[in-house]
Amino acid sequence: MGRSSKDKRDIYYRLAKEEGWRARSAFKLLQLDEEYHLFQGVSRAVDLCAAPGSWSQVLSRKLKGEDPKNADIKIVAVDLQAMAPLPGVIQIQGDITKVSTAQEIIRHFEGQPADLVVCDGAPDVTGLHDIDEYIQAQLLLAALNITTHVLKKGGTFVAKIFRGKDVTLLYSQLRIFFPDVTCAKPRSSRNSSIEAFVVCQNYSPPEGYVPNMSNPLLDHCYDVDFNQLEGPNRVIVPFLACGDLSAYDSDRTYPLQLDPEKEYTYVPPTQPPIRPAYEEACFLKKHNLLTKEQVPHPQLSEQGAQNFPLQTEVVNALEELSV
Amino acid sequence: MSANPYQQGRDSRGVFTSHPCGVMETELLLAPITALEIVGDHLIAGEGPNIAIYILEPGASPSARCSRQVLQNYNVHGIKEQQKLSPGANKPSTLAIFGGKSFVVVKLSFQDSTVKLSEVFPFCELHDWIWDLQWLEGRAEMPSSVAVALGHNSVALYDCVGQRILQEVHCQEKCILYSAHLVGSHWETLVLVAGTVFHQLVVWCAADQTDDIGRIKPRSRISGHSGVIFSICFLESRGILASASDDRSVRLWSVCDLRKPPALVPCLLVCYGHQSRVWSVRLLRDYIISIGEDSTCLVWNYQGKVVHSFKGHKGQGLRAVAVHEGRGWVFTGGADSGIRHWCLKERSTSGNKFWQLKFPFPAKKGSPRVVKLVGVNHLLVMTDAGVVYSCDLASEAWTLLLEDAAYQSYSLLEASKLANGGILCAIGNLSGQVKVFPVSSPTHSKELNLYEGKVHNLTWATAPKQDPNTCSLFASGPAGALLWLEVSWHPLGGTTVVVKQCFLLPVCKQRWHTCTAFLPQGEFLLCGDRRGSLMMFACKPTLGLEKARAGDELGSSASGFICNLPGVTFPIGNEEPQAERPVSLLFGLHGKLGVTSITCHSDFIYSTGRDSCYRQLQVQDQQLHVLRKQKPWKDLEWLEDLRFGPNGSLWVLGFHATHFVVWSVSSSEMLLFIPCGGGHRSWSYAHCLSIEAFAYVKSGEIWLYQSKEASSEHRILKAALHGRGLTCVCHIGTLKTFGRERVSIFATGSEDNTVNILAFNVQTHTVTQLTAIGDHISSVRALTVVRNGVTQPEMGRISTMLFSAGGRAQIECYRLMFSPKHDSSSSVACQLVHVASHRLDEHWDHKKNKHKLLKMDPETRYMSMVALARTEDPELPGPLHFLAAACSDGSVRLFLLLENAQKLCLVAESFHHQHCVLKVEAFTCKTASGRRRHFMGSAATDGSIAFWDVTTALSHIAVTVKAGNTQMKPLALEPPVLTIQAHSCGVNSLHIQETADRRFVVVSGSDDGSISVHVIDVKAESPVGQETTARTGIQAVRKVSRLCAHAAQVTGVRLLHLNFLLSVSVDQRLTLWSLCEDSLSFLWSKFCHVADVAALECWETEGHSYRGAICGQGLEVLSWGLDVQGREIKDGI
Repeated sequence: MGRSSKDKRDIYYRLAKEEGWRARSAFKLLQLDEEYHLFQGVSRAVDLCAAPGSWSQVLSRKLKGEDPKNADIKIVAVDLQAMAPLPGVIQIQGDITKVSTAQEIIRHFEGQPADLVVCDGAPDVTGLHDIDEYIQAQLLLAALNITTHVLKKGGTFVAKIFRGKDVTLLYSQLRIFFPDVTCAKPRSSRNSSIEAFVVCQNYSPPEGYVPNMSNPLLDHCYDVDFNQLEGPNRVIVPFLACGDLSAYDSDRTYPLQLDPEKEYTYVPPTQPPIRPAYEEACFLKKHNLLTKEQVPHPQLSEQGAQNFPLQTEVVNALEELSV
Repeated sequence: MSANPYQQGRDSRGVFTSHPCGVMETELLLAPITALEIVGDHLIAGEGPNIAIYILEPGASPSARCSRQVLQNYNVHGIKEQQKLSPGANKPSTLAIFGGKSFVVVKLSFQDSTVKLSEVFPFCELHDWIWDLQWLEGRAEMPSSVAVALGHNSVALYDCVGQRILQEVHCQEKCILYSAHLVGSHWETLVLVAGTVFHQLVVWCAADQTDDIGRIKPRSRISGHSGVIFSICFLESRGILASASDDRSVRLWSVCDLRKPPALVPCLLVCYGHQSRVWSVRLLRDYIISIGEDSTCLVWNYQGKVVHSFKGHKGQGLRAVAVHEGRGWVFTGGADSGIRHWCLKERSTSGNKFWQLKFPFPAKKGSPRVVKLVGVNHLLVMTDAGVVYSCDLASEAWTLLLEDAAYQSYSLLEASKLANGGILCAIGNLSGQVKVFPVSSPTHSKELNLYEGKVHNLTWATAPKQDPNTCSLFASGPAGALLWLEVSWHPLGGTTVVVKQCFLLPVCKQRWHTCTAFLPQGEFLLCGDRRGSLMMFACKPTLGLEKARAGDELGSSASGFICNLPGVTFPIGNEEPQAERPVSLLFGLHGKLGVTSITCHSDFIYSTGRDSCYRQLQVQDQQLHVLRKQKPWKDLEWLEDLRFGPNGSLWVLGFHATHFVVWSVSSSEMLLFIPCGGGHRSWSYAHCLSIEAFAYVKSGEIWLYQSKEASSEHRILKAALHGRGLTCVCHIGTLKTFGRERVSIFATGSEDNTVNILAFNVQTHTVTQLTAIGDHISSVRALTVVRNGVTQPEMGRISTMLFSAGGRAQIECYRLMFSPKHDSSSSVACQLVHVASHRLDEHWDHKKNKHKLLKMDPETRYMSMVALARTEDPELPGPLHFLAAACSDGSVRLFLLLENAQKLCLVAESFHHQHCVLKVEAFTCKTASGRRRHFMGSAATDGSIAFWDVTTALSHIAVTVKAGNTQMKPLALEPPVLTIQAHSCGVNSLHIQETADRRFVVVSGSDDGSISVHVIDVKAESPVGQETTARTGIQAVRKVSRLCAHAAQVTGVRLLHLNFLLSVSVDQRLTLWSLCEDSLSFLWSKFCHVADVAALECWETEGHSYRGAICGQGLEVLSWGLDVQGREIKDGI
């Protein structure tokens, strides 16, 4: 298959590398902006669950333009994980469910609330749809909760959402805080993907609402009247496809030679993942150090035990790992 | 199925009461197995919202004794049995079943052979996700309170009688959990171990004092994992806590008393063994069990060694595990919807021996070259000094059978067991001699001077109806000569050899045979050669050609040969002899590494080869026909032999790298794995009852593995469906079995690269897999069938053509035949024949040095496919099958199947869409002149639907075929006659149906959740005579659409009778709409239990009754009726 095959299977993955984005998701925010003009008049923006940082890159390029030192524009990126630094983006390694994080964001904005909060966070997907959708919903609600602390009235909140079996419960929850909730799907997001984005505009919390981070926001339950499990009444928000039809189609497979003028060259990924969970396991697997079942082996004789890795080899490999 | 008591719970919610139409019933649900628990002698499995009850005893019927939906719109994630007040196996058990935010309490009672399930406390829904549930003991007679661990690190005390939460306590660490484990049976002593999103285990007690904001301080925080924690288990007796994580490790922690954990909890063991993430861990007294995304169940000991590794599930992961510690049984449930039973103690080493055989020293003559097991306890060995030994493995007693310096250095030995129990042995040498002798009496040997050059190979085969003292020997010599010798041995009469016939192998470099077998009728000989060719010779032995008796001068001297074979003189020289050529030859069928075995089994021929495949063949009109090829396991590079078991089981012997493997096809598991160094060496395998033996030669020594309790297949409680998500489902037809039961047959395609053919019994609501297709090299995305002749749903037989298509631009075509099984009242027989295949980039795969080149072409996927109506032409031998495919590279392509030539050709294409084409549908319409016009509708990711008139293209192609030209260049399709912008983005489902003369309804569902209905008219044809050139126009007459019909992409739409429309979406709702003049009105909706719904298929069973199947992360079959009262067929739409 070779390293170019992913370039061929996924046009936006390839374009992201060629344009220097840390992830293909950068195009999603760019296309959402084409439709909603999210960045108009924004001088303070927050990127929640920012790693690896592609949305922060977009915010920085779009808001600050040519000048990454533009002090009038403030961008704060929050993530639990460490993230490679980005010029012009203030980074907080913190938890979005903590009040202290909200306070730190406001501090960076010199006491001013944010104009825009975006969140492209996704959980560690387990493959069991009900669990994945639940955890994604909790992530979105946590993002919404911190947003109620930092977003100015009339501000905009954009977050990733999984359109699964209980997505209407999230829609009804979001409607409490935002009169204008739409579900948007950028053309760079695959047709087959369960992922979409909620664009919540004109932040207007209910009268007397006091932001509270001590308890998590919980998702709604089905309601016999206005949001039924199986009935005709469901809270389904309007849908908007984002991005120009002439843009690249994320589902289409393209030849490697996109432009007859320009010869294809392989571009390595902009930013490889920092310390992924599987790092050690992959190292062990690569060096054939995972514990394996004992297969039948001849009872030890002169020739026996030759298939086991030598003790020194194991030690050397482990030393390499610790470095 | 009896009335569902839980249904009432739904009705009370007022959801179902307003149905104007018949209620939809789920008849079958196959979903990931997400919970397993052992209760007494039974296994309770959670599958979707259902639980099913199986008997543990291996002898019992594997089918579920009872299956019931218990949770409404949630999947079962856990089953907790309440401690019985008075123990007793047959006493009823009380179970709390939880999943999602809900749980229910049921009573399970056993009366004789029936299982009764009744509700104790009703279904209840909490405000947060339940990760764990624990029964609490109380003062009351009947315990009714449970503790539940909730999604944001809190514990709630729930009173089942009062149906309310009495108390909820929160931990200071307020975050999203990925797992939680409750320990303790009293609220006062209850401990929660929570696996946080921060990769930590947080231990806290529910009854501890709260801080000033009402939170409880954790007693311990355990760090070490570098990923989130998916499962936690605590073993009280050892004070050990185990955790399984995203970082692919299982870690054991020494906490001693969970309520008083040490300040710094020491990590006892880090277990890295899974190839992927670990989903669950269980601690037993002696073992640790872990299951993971790699579909493996590992059994560890407390020293961190893997004792067992159970593999057998398909694809993406195991989801549930239960252990019966006392009996050493492990049950695993997979994402593949299968349940397997494994035995912990089975591979005990007591019965197994693996040793180096002590060669008779100092009498040893030469070093061993060939080993041959002629029974599990009897080994023949030939050395490079030309000596043959016999060894009784039980006593390791050696006997020298024969010594002949003429057979030294080149060692060729083959043995065969006669029907009378005797063993005949043949050895060959470099100068063309073959010596045959009975093992029991080696002095009665018989030497034949067959060839002038070396004897390339020897094989034995038993001819049908052969005398029990006789066996056929085949000897390959120079220039492709293959001699058939009939060898007999009588204790009194000695050895007799009759030369029956001489055959000629096809010309190639390594021109010798590797395996032989007679067809059951005996008139043909099957033969495989070193070049990978499979051939068939006609057996026409000339009687009384040459007879020779042991000790007779004729046999032992070269000059003494009398030969009556026309044109053959012994010894046969290096010139090609005049001999029988194959009547049928499949040259190079198994590739350059050769054919390894041929077996005849129940009307079919099976061959194996070193191309990692085995093939099923049949003889038709004296010709060999390959029906299909199968790859049992991708890592088994060399297949050596097949062993058919009594009840349909099939074992494959082969080599994976340097290991000898016995693989069970029926249970897809490895039964034996021996590191012998590879298949080039001499090896031999024998199996009898429960004893198996494997011998091989390595570095001039003989190694032997012998097992007294050979592993047999593990029991399958529930068969697997697919290893990954299903992408498409296609109804093939309905059959009546001999027991007059109706069986619906359908095919499912999956991302696991396979297609399953399933039989669904309408009476019993059970499903069986008839066969599986594994020819695709990438995911299967589309299926379509073409029925032969008249389509009758209740025919006694079904014969169809099935097309499957998917990734890597691959299409496969099969002929499928179904008929009721004669020996069964409820089953169906299925025969599958591979007809043709097509790959767009086939030329690329044949390129040399392709790893050095960059393939510039797109990696095209076929997204959807449809068979166009057949076109018949009196001048053509058969109908022409045309196929249209929606392609991810933005094209629509037409293919033509030439069934007789077994070819699928690309005949036309168009890149009109410029976007990934997602769906394609076909329709036809008869013109006034009686001619049929062919149309196509194709839909793309840009939301447009294009309509094509392909009549001209098809007739143009038919003309080319008539001219005998099959190497055609693809035509460019003419542009579509109409394109409509139906949706704002991708069209995920499309259905076109004729409602009136030249009027069609086009229903489409989109990624944006909307459904559109377009009514189109095919315009009247142009004047007669021009119709082959002029294309017919299509006009859109009316449009009805409904935005926000679903909350996610609409992946299936179907127009049913009388303007009813059914749609299904990833939001897991199946909705029935009524199509009115200018609107779609909602009739009813049903929650469906298949996540990530990818496709919908419907078929009418009888007047206004339907059955449908939806697929995605599982498969659901539903049935419903349409209440048509008061409805009239409306004209116009």
